[in-house]
Amino acid sequence: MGSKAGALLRYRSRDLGIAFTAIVLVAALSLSTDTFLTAGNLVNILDQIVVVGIMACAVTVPMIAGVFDLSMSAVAALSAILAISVANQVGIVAGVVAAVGSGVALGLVNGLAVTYARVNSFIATLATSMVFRGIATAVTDGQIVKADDVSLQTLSRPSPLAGVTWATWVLAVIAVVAGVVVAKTVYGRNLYAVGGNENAALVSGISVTWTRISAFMVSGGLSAVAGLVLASRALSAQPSMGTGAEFTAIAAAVIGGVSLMGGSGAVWRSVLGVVLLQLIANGFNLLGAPTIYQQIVQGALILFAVSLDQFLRARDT
Amino acid sequence: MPTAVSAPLLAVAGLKKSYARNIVLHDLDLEFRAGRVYGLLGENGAGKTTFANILAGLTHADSGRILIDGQPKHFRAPKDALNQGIAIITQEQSLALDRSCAENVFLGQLDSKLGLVNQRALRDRFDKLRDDIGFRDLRAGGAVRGLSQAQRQQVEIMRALARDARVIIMDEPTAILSIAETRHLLELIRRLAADGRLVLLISHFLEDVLAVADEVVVLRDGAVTFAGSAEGQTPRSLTGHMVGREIQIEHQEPAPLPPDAPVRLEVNDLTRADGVGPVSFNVRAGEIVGLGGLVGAGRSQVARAVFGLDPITGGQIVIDGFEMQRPSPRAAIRRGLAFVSEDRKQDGLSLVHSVRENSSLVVRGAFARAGFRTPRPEKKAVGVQAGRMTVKARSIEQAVWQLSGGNQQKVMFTKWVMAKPRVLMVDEPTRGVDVGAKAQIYEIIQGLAAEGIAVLVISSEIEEVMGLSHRLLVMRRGRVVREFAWGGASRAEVIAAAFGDYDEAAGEGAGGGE
Repeated sequence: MGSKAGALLRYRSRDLGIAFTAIVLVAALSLSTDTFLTAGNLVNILDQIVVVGIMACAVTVPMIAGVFDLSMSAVAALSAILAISVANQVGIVAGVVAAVGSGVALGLVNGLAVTYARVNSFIATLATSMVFRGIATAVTDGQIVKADDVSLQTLSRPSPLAGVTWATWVLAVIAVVAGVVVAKTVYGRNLYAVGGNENAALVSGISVTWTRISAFMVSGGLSAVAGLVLASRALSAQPSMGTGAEFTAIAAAVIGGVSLMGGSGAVWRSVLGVVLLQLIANGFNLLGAPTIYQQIVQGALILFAVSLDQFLRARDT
Repeated sequence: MPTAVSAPLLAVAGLKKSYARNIVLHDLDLEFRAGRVYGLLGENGAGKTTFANILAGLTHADSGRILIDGQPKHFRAPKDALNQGIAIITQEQSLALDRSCAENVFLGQLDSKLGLVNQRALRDRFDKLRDDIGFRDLRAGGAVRGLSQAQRQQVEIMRALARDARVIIMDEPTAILSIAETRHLLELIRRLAADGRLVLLISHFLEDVLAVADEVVVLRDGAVTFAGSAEGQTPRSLTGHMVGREIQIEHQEPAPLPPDAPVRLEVNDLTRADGVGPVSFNVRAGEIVGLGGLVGAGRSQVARAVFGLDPITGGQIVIDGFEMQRPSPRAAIRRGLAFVSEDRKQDGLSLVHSVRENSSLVVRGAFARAGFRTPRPEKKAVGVQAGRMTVKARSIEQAVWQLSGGNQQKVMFTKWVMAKPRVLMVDEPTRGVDVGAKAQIYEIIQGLAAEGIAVLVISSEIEEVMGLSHRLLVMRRGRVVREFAWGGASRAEVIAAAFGDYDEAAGEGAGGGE
């Protein structure tokens, strides 16, 4: 039992590192500013992490299965445009359904490209993101699509629960559900198996193809939700919206400890990574430091997180 | 002839190395002389590969010295070792697959003319070196990707020679070679030594070592248990030095089958697109059938096709009276087929995951309710089965990459035993496994057969397939050419069957029978 506790401790020490960094940041910001620990600021932070947060939860699923989805912001944009168009003509509910449905369908396209067409996921989703954004530009003529029904804006409004926005609750629900699915279900188990060693998974009777396709469908559907949140803020959608958000989401996942190689990670790790990045951004804002340095710090943090991961791995070997 | 008076070409003094709290090498003091072949032996984890890697500059000792011609040298990187004339040929080959043989051989020392690679000079140098060493079928311009494992190894050997290496370290070079290829390699090693080079051969194959080595060094738990002349040593005595006691695996005659034992696996006229087949055989409940032959004879291909991993072009696969219509691993597993595949790192285990996660991979659905996992019964079941398979781990939550080769192999067995198979196919069950674990794996296989599982054992080790199997089928060039009952053939007869007639076999070996 003693050795088991030791193993547990070593496993935990890695997690404590991330949590510790977050706590230090919170403490430092609380002490150095009067504005950090205010309800307004905290609600603000929780609202600002929603879009990248949803994408980080989303990308965790394919990443654990050993593939990347770089098309998330393009899927978000195209789905949001579709949502507003449908909402304007049919109604808001139909718009939301259309958005999520199209996100899942675009995810299916990604999945087929990666599995059946055997294109490396990095390139495949980079290519589809160009296609998806291209389609978005074509159907809108590059124009902003405005929503007629203002009820879409509800997402960005405060909820009666704890005063945070409805969008924050959307993120919370997604994080919990995705977290449970990944950690507690047989499907989640298959994701880890496929990412850990796809050949071994195949020999063990797991459909590697279906597991990966479905992972892309999950990330596509959730990207569409992120797109809806973005659209609700401006009450409009446009082809270039959200550009690059998936890179922040992947970076956050990696900072939290989701493996780039596949086979290990967890949804809560990605969420924590997003929180960390946002705390840094918030700190720069509150302290009035030039935002150019924010990028430098965030970039350095990513390098540090990945090199720490490599170091811990080498030490354990 | 050895020059006993001069300083040894290579020596180590007080060499120590540990990983975390794990001491891998204790205070090694060894001397190696030019013109001799040294066999370096030991069980998995004895420290052989670590020792070799330190000599080659791939990793660093914690303390101690390396002396070349009596002078202490410090290797910061493989380049430093190479400059001192030490080259290593590792198990994981380090070749640029899409570059030509010549470029791989002369990597880092390409001829150039006005900054461009001088292909002609490169080719001439390559051809000269190749003719000196006698690797007739390598071409300077051919891409390495198109070569067999044996030929790739030849390219690595040429690279070592191109750098004028005086010390050549080979880590398990014969593991990937057929019998004929092994014979060629051993002859070459002798020639290298005759030219005054020092060859350090790390191998699990005691016969290979005894056939070629002048001296033997045996490591156990990072310390030298024997160092001296190979003369007078036998596989049995060497094993004794390796494990501290004499282990001899003596195969007992397998338990007789009841006459009414039903046929569990039947393969009729199976053919594949790569020319393997037609192959027909059957395995009855409780029976162990061996599939022997040279590497490349098509043994693994048959098993992979039966399991639905590779497509078949014809024939019938019948499991327990049920003919497989569209073979796939899932369908095979559903019918009670299990497959401990050849390369556990490639397609057997997920190394980053735990013993538990790997063990319950096949039966993952059994430990779930409505799609949600139920960890407690899973832990219990894995604990029981891993115990039966004598897996040694800190706990079932330990990651598989931290286990020895033998224990990894036992995890593979655990994974499949969990599925309660009716037919079990095992491909090279003891590759890269130490002697102690080997005996345990044999017991596991025999125990499973005794429970009524039909077992197909594929192995390149002739003693292994001969000793374990009720019946041994020998394959050659994609077909079953002979069948022997247990004890019904000598080793020589089995080898003869595997080779067909000798001349043909020699040709196959040179062509790299993959």
